[in-house]
Amino acid sequence: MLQIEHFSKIYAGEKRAVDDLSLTVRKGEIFGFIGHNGAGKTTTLRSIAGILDFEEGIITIDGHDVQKDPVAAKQVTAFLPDNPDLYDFLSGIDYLNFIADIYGISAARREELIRKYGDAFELTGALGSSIGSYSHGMKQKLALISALIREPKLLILDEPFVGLDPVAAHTVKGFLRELCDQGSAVLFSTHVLEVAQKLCDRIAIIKAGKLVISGDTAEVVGNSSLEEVFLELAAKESEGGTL
Amino acid sequence: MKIFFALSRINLKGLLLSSSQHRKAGKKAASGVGALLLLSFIALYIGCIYSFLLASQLAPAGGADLVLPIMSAMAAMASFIFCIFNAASFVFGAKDNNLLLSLPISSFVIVLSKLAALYLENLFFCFCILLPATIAHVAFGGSLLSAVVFFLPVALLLPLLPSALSLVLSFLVSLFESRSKHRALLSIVCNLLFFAAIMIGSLKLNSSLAYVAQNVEGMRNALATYLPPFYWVRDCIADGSIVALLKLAVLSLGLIIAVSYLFSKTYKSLISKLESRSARNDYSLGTQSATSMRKALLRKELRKYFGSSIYLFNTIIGPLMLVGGSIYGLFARSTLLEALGGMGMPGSELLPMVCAGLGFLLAMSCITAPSISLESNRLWILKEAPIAVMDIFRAKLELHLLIIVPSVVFAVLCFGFVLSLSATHVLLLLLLGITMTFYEGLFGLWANLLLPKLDGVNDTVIVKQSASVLVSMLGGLLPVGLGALLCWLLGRLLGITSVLWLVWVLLIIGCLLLHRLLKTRGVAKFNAL
Repeated sequence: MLQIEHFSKIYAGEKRAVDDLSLTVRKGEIFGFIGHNGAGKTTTLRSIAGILDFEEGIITIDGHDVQKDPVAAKQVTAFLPDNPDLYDFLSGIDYLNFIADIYGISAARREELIRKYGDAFELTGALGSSIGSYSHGMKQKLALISALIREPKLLILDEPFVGLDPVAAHTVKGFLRELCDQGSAVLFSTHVLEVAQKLCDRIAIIKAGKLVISGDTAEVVGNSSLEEVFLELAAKESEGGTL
Repeated sequence: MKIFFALSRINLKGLLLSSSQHRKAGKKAASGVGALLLLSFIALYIGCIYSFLLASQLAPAGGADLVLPIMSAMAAMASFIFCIFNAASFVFGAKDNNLLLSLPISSFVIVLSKLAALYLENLFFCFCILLPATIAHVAFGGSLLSAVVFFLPVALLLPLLPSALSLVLSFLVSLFESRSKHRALLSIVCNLLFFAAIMIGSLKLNSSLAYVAQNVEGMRNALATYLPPFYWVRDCIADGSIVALLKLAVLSLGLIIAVSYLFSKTYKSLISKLESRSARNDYSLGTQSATSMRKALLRKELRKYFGSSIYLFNTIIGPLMLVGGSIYGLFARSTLLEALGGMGMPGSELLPMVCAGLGFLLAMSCITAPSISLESNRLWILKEAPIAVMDIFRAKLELHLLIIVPSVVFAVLCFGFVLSLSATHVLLLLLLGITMTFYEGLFGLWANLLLPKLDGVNDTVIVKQSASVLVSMLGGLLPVGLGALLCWLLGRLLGITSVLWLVWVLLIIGCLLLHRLLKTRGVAKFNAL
């Protein structure tokens, strides 16, 4: 579903934020992207989503090159940033309809999906209110609903559990698994290692823009916990060791 | 004091400087500084014109010194108007309020530091109006020594008054808005009423000048009685009165400290009220309807436009003046035609002037110039959506056309009737007006891509202080200047009508070039944002 080959992102006058990253996310899997603050996770996710330009490498989503055919690639993708700023001047339902119109979702289908996800996140009653009156968590839920109603083939989430209450976080996990069961793929970044270990089929750890390790969660973790593996890898890298 | 100066420096920086994350630190675009310099230049120009005109009319009656209180009152009023736009959003609606209130700093210092930043902005304005007034006073027989000694302290004190008063008004507006459900609408109505009052005042200014010249002593008494701070300005600069300077200092500084102190007492509660909005929970999901992507984009642009009072107010004045002027023309047609007949001038000879006026108003009404900057932190929504960049540009241009073109068509048809223009001239005016609207919209987009301001703390900063807004205004005036030049150079040779057709062709070429530029480099620039 997602193929990243030798991807590098260099910010003007700065060092490489991401350096020669190659990854594959397959259909039906939840892929966790783990790393320190500033490791290059957000840069990678934003480049995949077509928000950031990049200089080196090729990223394809469902066979569409994100640089050569961005509209087709975005049509099958949904991206959710870590702190989604939405249109405060619209109401929740207006925003969802705006997104549905952009993605060409039929009136009947959008109504069905908005009801399903709105009810699940207990947001339907507030959809008539202005987004400007929403709390941070409500905005996060609305952004999640706007991503899910697209029924994307690839769902990209940057720290999706930050700002969500435990019930909503549990609901999200259920929907992510449901999406993957329908043949889509989910790529998300997180700092919460327990969530990654329990939820992800495969994981990748990135440090200072470089891929440190990737593979099936069970293989990467082995008999220890993901936290132990992550800390061990971080320590090895700091000592200049190779993997 | 250390904290006060540190906060004031940051506040002033926030008001003036814009930066883009794609520019090197040393190349920060000082668009706010540019806007301020332009306003200062305009103030200097207006100050020179009115000061010397007033002084020359008052001098024969021995009242040249009155230019000082009159112009200082004008300076304070102009500063007040300039400041009022910023004060409400900068002091009471700023994004950094939560951060500042969480720091161990008193509300008094926070309010005072914000006022200090507003004061420094006003300083430029007052200085640029008071300087020519002082020069005019000296040129018409005033004392050079007292002018040299007292000008600077007076110029430093004068902006304190409008700064404090604008804070009072912005406080009342914010308080009123915080208790109203229709804040944006209320703000728009208040702004329009305020603007109408200024326009009426400006129209009466010329007749007031004649009245002042005929009643010097009456005016002197009135100023000294009803506007004493501005008369103290005269006493300082004209008579070298230290007592007057002290009175001005005590009043200005006392007012600013009193205002800061009083408002700091309610600052936190007002901010809390402004921010406390709660979503209702009674929405029932009904049947939804679908529309095309292009319509959805345009609808979103319209909602943004009518949902942001400052965005709307800053660009709707031109179309409103066009419509208002046209309606006035219809009602005063016979008077206008009589006046034109008296000057031996048929309506068709006014064609270049009508074109210039139209072009000037359109240049002041560029809706696209801040439109990309206004996406701000929400730009990711458009960038991650499966939309071609040109479709995003098209939606912004369509909004511009939708708002401006109807007023242009209405105005041209009205003026065609009022001035008894031929059908060809009406058609020419229509084509020029509509093409100019296209040009202005395209130029605004290009200017915004060249000079984006995605980190503005609020809509006011983006709309009022973006370099792109300033540049698009100048870019809009370019065809007006070019048209005037061509009329002057070729008017006699080809005839005015032919020259205006030529201007239209040039405008179309300009539009095509801008469209090509947007399609190529514009798209690349948008992707790099």
